[in-house]
Amino acid sequence: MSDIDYKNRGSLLNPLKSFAFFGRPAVTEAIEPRPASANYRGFHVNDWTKCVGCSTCQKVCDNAAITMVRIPGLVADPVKGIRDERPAIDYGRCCWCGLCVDICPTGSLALSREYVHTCTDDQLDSYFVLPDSSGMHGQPFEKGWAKTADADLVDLDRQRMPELEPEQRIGNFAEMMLGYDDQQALLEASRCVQCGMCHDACPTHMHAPEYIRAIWEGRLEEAVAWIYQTNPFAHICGRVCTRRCEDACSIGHRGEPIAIRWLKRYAMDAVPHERVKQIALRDKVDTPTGKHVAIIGGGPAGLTAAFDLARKGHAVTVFEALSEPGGMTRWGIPEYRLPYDRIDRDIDVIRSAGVDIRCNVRIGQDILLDQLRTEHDAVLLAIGLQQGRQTRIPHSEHEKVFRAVDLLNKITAGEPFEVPHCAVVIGGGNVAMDIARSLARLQKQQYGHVNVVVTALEEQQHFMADPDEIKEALEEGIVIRDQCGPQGCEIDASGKLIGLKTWKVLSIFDENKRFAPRYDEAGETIHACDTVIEAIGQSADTALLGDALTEALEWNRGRLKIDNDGRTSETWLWSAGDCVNGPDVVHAVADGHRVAASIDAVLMEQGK
Amino acid sequence: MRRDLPEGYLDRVSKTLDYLESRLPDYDNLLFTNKVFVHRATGVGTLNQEQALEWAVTGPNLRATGLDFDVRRDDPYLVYDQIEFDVPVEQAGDAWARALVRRSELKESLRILRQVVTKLPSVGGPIRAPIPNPLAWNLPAGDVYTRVESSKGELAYYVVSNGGDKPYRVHVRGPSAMHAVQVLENLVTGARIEDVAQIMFSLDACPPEVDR
Amino acid sequence: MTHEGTAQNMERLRSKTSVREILEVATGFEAAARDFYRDLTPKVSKRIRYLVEELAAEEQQHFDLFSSLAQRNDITEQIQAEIERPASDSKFSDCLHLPDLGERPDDQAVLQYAMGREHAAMEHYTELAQTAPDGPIRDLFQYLASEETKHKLELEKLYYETVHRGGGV
Repeated sequence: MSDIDYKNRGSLLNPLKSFAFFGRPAVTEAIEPRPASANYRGFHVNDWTKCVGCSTCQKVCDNAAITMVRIPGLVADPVKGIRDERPAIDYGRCCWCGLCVDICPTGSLALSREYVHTCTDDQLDSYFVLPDSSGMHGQPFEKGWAKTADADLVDLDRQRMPELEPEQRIGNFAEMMLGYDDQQALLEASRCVQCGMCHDACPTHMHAPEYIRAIWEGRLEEAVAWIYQTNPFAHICGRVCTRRCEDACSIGHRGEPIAIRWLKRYAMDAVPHERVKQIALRDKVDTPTGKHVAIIGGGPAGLTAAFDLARKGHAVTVFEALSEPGGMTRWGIPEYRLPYDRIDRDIDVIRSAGVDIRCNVRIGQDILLDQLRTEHDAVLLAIGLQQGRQTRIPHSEHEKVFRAVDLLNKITAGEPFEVPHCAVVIGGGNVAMDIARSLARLQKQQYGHVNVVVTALEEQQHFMADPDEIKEALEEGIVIRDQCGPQGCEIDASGKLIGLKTWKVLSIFDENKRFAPRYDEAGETIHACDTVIEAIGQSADTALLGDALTEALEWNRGRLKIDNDGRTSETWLWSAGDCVNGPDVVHAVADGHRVAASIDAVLMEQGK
Repeated sequence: MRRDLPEGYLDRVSKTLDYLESRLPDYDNLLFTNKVFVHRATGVGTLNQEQALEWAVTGPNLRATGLDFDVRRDDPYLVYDQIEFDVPVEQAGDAWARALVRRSELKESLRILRQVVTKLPSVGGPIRAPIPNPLAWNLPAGDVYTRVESSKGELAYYVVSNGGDKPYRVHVRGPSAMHAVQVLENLVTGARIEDVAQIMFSLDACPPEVDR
Repeated sequence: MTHEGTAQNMERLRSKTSVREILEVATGFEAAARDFYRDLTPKVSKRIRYLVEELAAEEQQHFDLFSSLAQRNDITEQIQAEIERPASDSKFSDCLHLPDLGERPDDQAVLQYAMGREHAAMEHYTELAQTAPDGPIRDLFQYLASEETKHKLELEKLYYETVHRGGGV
């Protein structure tokens, strides 16, 4: 076995054979630290301009060596997903494994090639370090272990949701997005690092990390319970939410944000409706308070408030002017984005909480506001933005010039109207896309072709519409002509509408980012069409308040003045939703909760 | 694997192996064919196989008692099943036998490393398989014991999971933990005082492995 | 108001030979506009009254500015300094007719009217500056034109924010 002949017990002289050993030069090492190798895992460096304080490094650290420290004066912006916290490292615990670097969503964290630190007993705190980009001792060292594509522990790519191809969807109003299957939802949920930026950014502070976690753990009913804690428009927001959460998602800094909206949709679709109802109504109070609240408007703000108030034991009556509740989610958003049966489910949950929704009742006409006031303990005005703004450009009063919201209403109601052969839409927001895409479908159904042009002031990449909407509209054959400022409708000698005249927009914002379009008259274009649709904005119709109340109320730049709780200057009247805070479903939901809490507090105070 | 090897690394390894091999005659001259060393090591600190197994001795110290066992060969991990090497075994169980096992293992280690250098595939693509988000690992509850042959014997991890993303319990079995204290304690009982150092070094104890 | 009888106004202004006189006439126009908005205030819904009140305040500021300017001794120098800051023009309002506001005008109607008024004023002064001889008179007309242009641009921004920004009131 051994190549030493150990049976030979050796010789006393054998060591002398290596006498030459003594003549060899001694090995010397410089006392200076040697430069570390390229991938060395030394002390941390953290680029504070990139770091958003998401605390993912802290979570992944197996040694609990990382503490998040609040730094006063740093930017803290929940909407952008930035916290004023930065990681501090305890080098008494750190083992330099580099997991913090590998998982850092922004890529701000790296290990440097600096590895020497020593101190006396009284400086032991110097092992607790708040790394920034300047290095442990203020000396510049190159990065060692840093983020690479190979070692990245963040999954940057979102699970694609299957969808109908353009040719499959253009001739009908079937829902376009088909939903995640179990495996896709699981994989998508597993990308989440649980930083909670989404929760902070959401107007109603949905517990997204919790429901994503529950989905990942396969506990879908628990996910639904988390969703219902803050949002009774669960199906609706699972499909059409403006998703501030995804804008704030930490993964979005380098990759695609977690598909939070789609995960919510998955959980809601996966749990049977009867179970959802039971879960949603778990904390409903059984004893009536004897108080009665009237809510004007059956949209997200009004119905959220109604849901909250009913669960607290108040009698709630919602007065809806149109034939079905849901507000803009039903009457504005087309069916291919949000099927009506999903709206019905959300509303069924709200109704089953005991909310009395009376449709086809227009306050100010069928019932006067004064009557509501005398018959109820509180009144909530949640009327939304139902009136389409008009451009009032020359000839825009022509009978073939429509407001987008009016046509969308007609489409929802199934009211027949003459579908234009060739339509030009004015506006670059989601409503413009909704009407353009709806008309394209109707055209395809009735005439077999699509002929819709969308004109807007902005450049296409700055449209207010969701980029997905724009992409899908283009796929469906809609033509987008950006940077077009509407100047007038063109009419022929017989009074027939023949086109829209626009000027080329040179620039749209001034140096202070205020809207100030500048035009090039030479860039005049006539967009030939038989119908023009204005989709530039909406306003609230406050006529129902009547002259006396309008005069009595306080206003703030065209909107009802409300306090932080949504109460107007009249103590019996609250207001919430789009009509006071601008258009956004999830914002309206948040508003509904806030105003319900205020009404409940006031009513319970009165009841004592 | 987290990163690829740096440029030229394998050449440097080969050079180092050549250098180490060139030193072997020196070691032999100084120790293994040095009559003084051989004489002083023989019959000192003898451990018999039965005791060694009872005290959970592993590695070279166990093989010096005549037990032919090596995790790399008998419970292979990584690529050891594709590598040719011999497992040196001695019978006497004394300090000299332990020294001889280690001397022979120097050669085997050089042999193993040379094979690794030639067999290591050169990869053009990604080095690391995509690892799912470590904050969302779905680990089953349970326990696992896994071991490797280290220079001093079996280095093993015993990990218990209760299903969370971090272990419930991790125990590291450092091989020296067995022979550094209890074996030494027994072997030095009744030994001559000048042999204590000899016995200690022949067991090759690494103090940090004891402190687990 | 300034736009009714443009030619007449222009004649009045053209016949003025002193800087101070021109300023006095311009001040008079601003006072007329201010009074117009003040009269309009109770007629509009309280919801948009802020807009008319702001316009009246704006015209009052204009009025104050022109009248204080007229009283200064270093007026020529002052005007020189002001017109060196060029105000950029925009063609937006060019296609707008000045609407008849009717009984209960809404915010959009009020804004369109106000923009039209500023635009007309801007055009008056610009044209006057073009025909005036070099010297302080021309400088003054240019100054007035640039002031009106700035106001018009301000109003346009408000108009777009109110009407074209998806949300609104």
